[in-house]
Amino acid sequence: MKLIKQSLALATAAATLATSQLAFAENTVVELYTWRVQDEALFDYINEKNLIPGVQVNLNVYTEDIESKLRIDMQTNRPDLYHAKAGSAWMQPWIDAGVAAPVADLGLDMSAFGDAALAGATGSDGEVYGVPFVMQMESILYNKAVFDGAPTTLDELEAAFAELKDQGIVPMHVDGRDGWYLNQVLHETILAGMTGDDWAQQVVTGEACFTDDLYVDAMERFKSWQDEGYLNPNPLADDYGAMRTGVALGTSAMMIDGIWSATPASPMYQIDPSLELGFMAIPGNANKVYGFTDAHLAYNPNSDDIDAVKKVMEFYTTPMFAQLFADMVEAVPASNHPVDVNNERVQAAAEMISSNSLAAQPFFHDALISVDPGYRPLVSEGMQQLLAGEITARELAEHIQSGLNDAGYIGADRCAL
Amino acid sequence: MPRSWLSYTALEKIQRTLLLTPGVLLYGIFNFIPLMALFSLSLVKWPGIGPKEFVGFDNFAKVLTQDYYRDQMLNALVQNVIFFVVIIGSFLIIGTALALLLSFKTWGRKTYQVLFFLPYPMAGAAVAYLLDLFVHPRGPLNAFLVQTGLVDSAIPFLGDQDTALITMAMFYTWHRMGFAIMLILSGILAVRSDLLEASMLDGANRWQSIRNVVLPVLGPAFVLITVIVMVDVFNNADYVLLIMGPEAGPLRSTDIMGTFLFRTAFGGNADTTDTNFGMAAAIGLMTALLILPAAIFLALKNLRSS
Repeated sequence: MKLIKQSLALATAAATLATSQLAFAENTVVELYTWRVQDEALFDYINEKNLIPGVQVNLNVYTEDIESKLRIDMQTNRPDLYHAKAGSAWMQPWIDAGVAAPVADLGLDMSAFGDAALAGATGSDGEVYGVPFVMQMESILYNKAVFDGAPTTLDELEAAFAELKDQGIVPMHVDGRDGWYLNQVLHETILAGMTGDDWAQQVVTGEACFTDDLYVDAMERFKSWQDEGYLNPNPLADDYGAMRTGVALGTSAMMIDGIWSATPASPMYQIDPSLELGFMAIPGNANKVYGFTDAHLAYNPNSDDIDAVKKVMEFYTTPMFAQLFADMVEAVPASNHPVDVNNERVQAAAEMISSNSLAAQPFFHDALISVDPGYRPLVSEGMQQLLAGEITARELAEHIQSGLNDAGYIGADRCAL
Repeated sequence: MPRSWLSYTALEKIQRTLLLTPGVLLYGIFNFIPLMALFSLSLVKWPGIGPKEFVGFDNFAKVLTQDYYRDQMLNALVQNVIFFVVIIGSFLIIGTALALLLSFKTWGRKTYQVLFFLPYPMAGAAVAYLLDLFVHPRGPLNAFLVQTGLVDSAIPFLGDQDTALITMAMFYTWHRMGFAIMLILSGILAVRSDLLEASMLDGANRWQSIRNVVLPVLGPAFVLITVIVMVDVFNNADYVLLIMGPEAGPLRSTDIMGTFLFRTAFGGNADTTDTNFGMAAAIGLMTALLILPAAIFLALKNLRSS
């Protein structure tokens, strides 16, 4: 009896092992590193339905400092794929290290992507290093339960601010603590709403200066909101979480943020599941939003499973991926494939990005960020000083311009102080 | 018993060498060799991956001469000194006072010992998170201050550049105070009771006994705490990194050498692309050179006095 039991147990173990081996033999597992926690459900679905034949994608989410994780793990040739941030400056170290390669090497058909989408994945050598997959938009986000107007001018917006303030609601909540928020979100959205395509285009080519009146006036107007008491009382004490909490709770009406905060994975819906967010451009001179390619899928050319890697990259270029992305992540796909979107918010964001976003993007432009010190730290430092009341808008402009000039900015001669 | 063919002195030398070898090996492998490697790293420009570019002493020169980096370095250094002084001052004054109270046979002192030591084993990340919530403008401390009428509006402890660094130092102090109290208390308890009795017989009151008998004996404990805290606060920046991030805001008012080094190596959250491990190594070496003389001086002084 004991022998029968032992034999049965052994047979069961052998069968289990054989089945699992068969499963591994059928599917190649590739590792994908990302900071995008909102993509988890999408990949669970892709894996469950075997939408990439013969390939399972193991999504590794690192919400903090993914660059360090990549630096360490690339030394042992992991991962096979990774979500890369937009801009050639971000890509360059990985290209130099030989762990990023042009998608042309895989022979991918990139005809479904427009120039704007490809720009974020293009290196300084003009090669495309990944498949762009998500467009983002930064604008004013507001809690519809507290504010649901549609101001078309700055005067109307400020009138709404005054009403909200009288009701004891913080009209505009700002995260003054996080450098990335100050330069990538707040500053760029102000540029989009209050400067304009021409100026933004010229500033990245060195033909316009931050000390121009257009820029200084925009920053003065923003600063006046703080002086009037329309911002949260201590912006430098509030971080990104505090800002989103304020708007989710309805103690604050608006914030300047990206539409990622309005996707289902946003923690704002944990605070109030019935929260409804609306968005609009800052209704200044330009009245535009800041739209950009947020991320692209890059690959490790040294991967042991390069065929599986190619399959995943190809899948990212398909209409099916675009549709799934819009449906499940509720974000705007980067490809031009027609997508059937029922979600009103995604639809509106896609329209605003395609028809009303700032043409040039200083935050991603080589001429501004590949210098040392670059545009990004100069802007975040200056914005903090502005919010702390240490400098005026004019001094902020001079801080950015002089920093760039010292670092060899392309327009240094024209913009000499 | 057979006689050894080695002399007593030779045996003693061998014994000493054998006893020292494991420590020297461990220290060499895990401390000395990495320190030497740090020097070679400081001579290159390297973003942490890919090819290294040899730049000689450029990293040192950049930190010391280029306004952008030099100003950050000086700011971080001065603030680190303030950070250290606040912490060590609190440890030596409050820690000694509490340790003295615990040394008396007062009611409930065992409970107090546990209470004082309780925060120390807690993870730094948990302490940082809890205290950040505690002092937040919407947090319980501000709610108490406003509701009791002590202040008109919430104090932005971490949002004001005048209070942020001191608040951070207070976080550190609260977390590690148990460690300081235990060291000082063990020093107090090691005071020979006959000395205390003699002082009492000579007519000294409690305060005079403490001042003239106990405090002089606490010197080694004070030096030990000072050296440990100095090395820790000049090399680590866990609370600032966890709460304020590598930008060490507001307006770099909480920037200390550890955050400056981290930001140089891994990038700040304002810009993750500008990274240079070589310059970070140079900053690390300069920090070590800055604190080494003080640490050696204190250690030698301690050695001589003991």
